[in-house]
Amino acid sequence: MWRFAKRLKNDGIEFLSNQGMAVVVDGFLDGQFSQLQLLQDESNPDFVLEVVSLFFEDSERLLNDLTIALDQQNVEFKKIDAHVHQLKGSSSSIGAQRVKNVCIAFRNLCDEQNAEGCLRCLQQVKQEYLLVKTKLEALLRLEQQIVAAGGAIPMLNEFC
Amino acid sequence: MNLEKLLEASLRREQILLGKLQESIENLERQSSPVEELSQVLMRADNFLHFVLQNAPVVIGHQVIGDVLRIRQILTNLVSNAIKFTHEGKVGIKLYVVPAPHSLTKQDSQKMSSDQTSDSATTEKELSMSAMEEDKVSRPDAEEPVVWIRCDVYDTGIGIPEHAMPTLFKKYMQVGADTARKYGGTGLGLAICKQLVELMGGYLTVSSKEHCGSTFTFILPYKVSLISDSSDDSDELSHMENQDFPNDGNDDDFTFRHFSVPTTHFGFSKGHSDMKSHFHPYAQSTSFSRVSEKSNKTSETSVSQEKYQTHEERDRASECSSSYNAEIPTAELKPKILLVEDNKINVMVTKSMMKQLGHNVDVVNNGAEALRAVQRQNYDLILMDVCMPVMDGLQATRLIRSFEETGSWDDAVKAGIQLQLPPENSSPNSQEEKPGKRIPIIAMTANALSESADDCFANGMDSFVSKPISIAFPITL
Repeated sequence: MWRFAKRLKNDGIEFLSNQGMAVVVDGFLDGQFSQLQLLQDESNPDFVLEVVSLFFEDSERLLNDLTIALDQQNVEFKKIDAHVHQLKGSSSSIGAQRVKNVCIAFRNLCDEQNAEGCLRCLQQVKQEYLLVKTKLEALLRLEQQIVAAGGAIPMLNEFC
Repeated sequence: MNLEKLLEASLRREQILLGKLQESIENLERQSSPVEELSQVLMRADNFLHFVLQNAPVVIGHQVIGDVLRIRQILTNLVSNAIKFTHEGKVGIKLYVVPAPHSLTKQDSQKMSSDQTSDSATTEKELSMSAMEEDKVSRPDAEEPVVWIRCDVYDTGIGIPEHAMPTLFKKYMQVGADTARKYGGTGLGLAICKQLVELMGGYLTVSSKEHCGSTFTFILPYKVSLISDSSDDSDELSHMENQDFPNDGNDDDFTFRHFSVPTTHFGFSKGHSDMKSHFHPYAQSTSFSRVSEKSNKTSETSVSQEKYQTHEERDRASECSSSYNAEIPTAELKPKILLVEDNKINVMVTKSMMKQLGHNVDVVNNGAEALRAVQRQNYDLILMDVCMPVMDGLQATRLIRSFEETGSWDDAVKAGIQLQLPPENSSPNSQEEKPGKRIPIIAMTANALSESADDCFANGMDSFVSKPISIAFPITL
């Protein structure tokens, strides 16, 4: 486990260890993500990878649609709200809590029909998405390495 | 028929069932346990649980499903742990139905708790490591009779060292770095099991000896419904007592024995090259179909009970080898679940969670598709997202309820939904297709103001879970 500690630090994820137990303290992924890890087993060995990949695909499409929608002359706030709602749902299901939180703020701005505010929010959501994407990719790489080395996958701790 | 009499009748029935069940279990323990695959073990645990839940407490449909889902998850966790840590010997499951105490006092329940907290079974309660005395455990709400089911998952594995006991049920703890490395796993299984069991109002304890083995015990309460008609109860009783089964030499008539012979005490032995099952599918099929035919007429419940009947009859006809095919029967026994959700990731996660619990779900992406699906076939449970395009969950639920009440899809057609014209529902053998049967619908809400619990209930939903869906969500069923 210890040699992975260094690797984790380099990837920007803090790592604490206690009695051989791996705990990752992180503000980007909440307890929901560890639930997803629980769903991975012999009968479903690539579950986390699949869900995360789907999340990336889906989010990037939504962010793209949002960019286009906010670029229009007549901004359709209902449509934008629908997209943000989707993104909020997926980020929540995957445990990307910061993305989800920005989405909540985003929806409020849609209600207010505040185009400028929405644009700023979009930037913020893109940023948060990229951050969590980096984290998830690093975690997945790490998990693959651990499994390849025959060990157990470290779990995320829920307090963060 | 006043409540008291209903209660009495239910209790009487319980006592008889319990007595007989205990008997057959005791007989079985003297026999050697059959050798079989884990999936078969779990499936038979399922069967047995279904059977007990059908005959001891009469509960409404979705609660039966919920109960079985929950127990299944706990069992899966405990059994796979047991198998993982056992290199030779055996792993088994013992199920007991334990009578509920009749008098419940504050004192009794406080006596049982290791730390004198409150009289209700709180989740913060620290569990003692010794096994609980089954017949002394009580619940504060004494109005409804409660039946307790106890389950022991035992193994002859590596055991658990003393020093690991205090932290055994804590999250992320494995016994040591060595164990984690050698056996893998997340260290979350036991913590979640304990949480699930306690959320269900039960207790989870363990006893273990290093290098000898461990036994994890959980007990769970089940309420006896007072809805049952007592006149039908006496029918059941006489039926059960007078049944005669040809393939058992002795004339002890009790149906439980036949069902339970292969299943109440079953195990999985490692270190044997011969994995042949001693289980006789004929015995199970024959007895079980008779039981389900008669005993479930009174309960207004699960289609799954009737599905048992169909499955078992089919089994009887086709089963002729000694190897038990776990695949086909399992699929038939499972409740039919419809998931109505538009977000792809939520679909994936929810599907996977249900799969973990052993259930496949059908998926549709909006309310209109849900209506079409409900029209096409009967579902035992619907998980309905609230916010969806085309038609949202609230409206879809309203329209389903309207169909259930009136028997017609007119309201839906008025709402602009394209439906196939349904075939005539008057065929005599489709008793489970009568429109009055209410499908349990559970709302999945993102907790926004527009999706309040009140709205859900007002539109005909039975319960709700809030998103994101967590693995423990069946608890809220």
